[in-house]
Amino acid sequence: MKDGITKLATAEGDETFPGATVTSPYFTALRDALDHWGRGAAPPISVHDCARAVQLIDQAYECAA
Amino acid sequence: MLATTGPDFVLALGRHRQMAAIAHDLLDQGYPFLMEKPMGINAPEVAGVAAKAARLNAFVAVPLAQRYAPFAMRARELLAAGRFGPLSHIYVRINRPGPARYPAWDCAWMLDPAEAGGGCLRNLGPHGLDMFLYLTGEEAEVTGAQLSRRAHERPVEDYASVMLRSESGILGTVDVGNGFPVMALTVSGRSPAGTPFSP
Repeated sequence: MKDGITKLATAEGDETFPGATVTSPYFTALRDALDHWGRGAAPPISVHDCARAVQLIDQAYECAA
Repeated sequence: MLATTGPDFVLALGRHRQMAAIAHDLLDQGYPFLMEKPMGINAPEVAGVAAKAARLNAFVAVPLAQRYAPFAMRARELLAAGRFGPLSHIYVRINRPGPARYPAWDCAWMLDPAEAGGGCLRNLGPHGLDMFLYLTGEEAEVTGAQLSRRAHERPVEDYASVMLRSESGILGTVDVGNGFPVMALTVSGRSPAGTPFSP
């Protein structure tokens, strides 16, 4: 995806998909989290997902030092 | 404020330096919440919150919203359908406007390493690195990284390039910066017929 356009390139040729998003991903993320909470389910994206990414961030800072 | 308002659910923001303490307070008081990334200024802080959340079986959500972007949803569909064959590499670039916006938003602390825990890597990195983990479904480790402050000459980096490798050998490059409002994401593999393939 670049500049809001998703392009699929295969041996058969290129296919372009409309990239416009009607609903903001941030709005969707919040709504999805509240929906999960409301029905007693676990978070769709949780602190554990964040912790895994932040661990890689710390590795990157250490690597770049 | 919590005692006064007694919310059912909390949306938690804050300076990066304060976020882990806020999260612990909410956990200790039994509030379900959603907190903006990065949830702390380093991995041990966030790991501490994650450990307590697991121990208490608490609801702690994080809006890593790029998972809901059209690219991610399309890539997940193609991965589930096996359209990529053996996945080769994933490239994510997230480049946001320059740091002048932070003082303009009364958030100059974002340019203070002690308050923010870093620059664009700490702030935008969670999106790009989570995307790699989300699409591969594997653990990963960083194999190389470079930072730069040359564009804006602030105390925190304004560009970072991180290379990583998943457990099975899928390679990743995550570029984040505060240079231009451009965003690009690529997933590449090989079609069942053996031809290179990427969206």
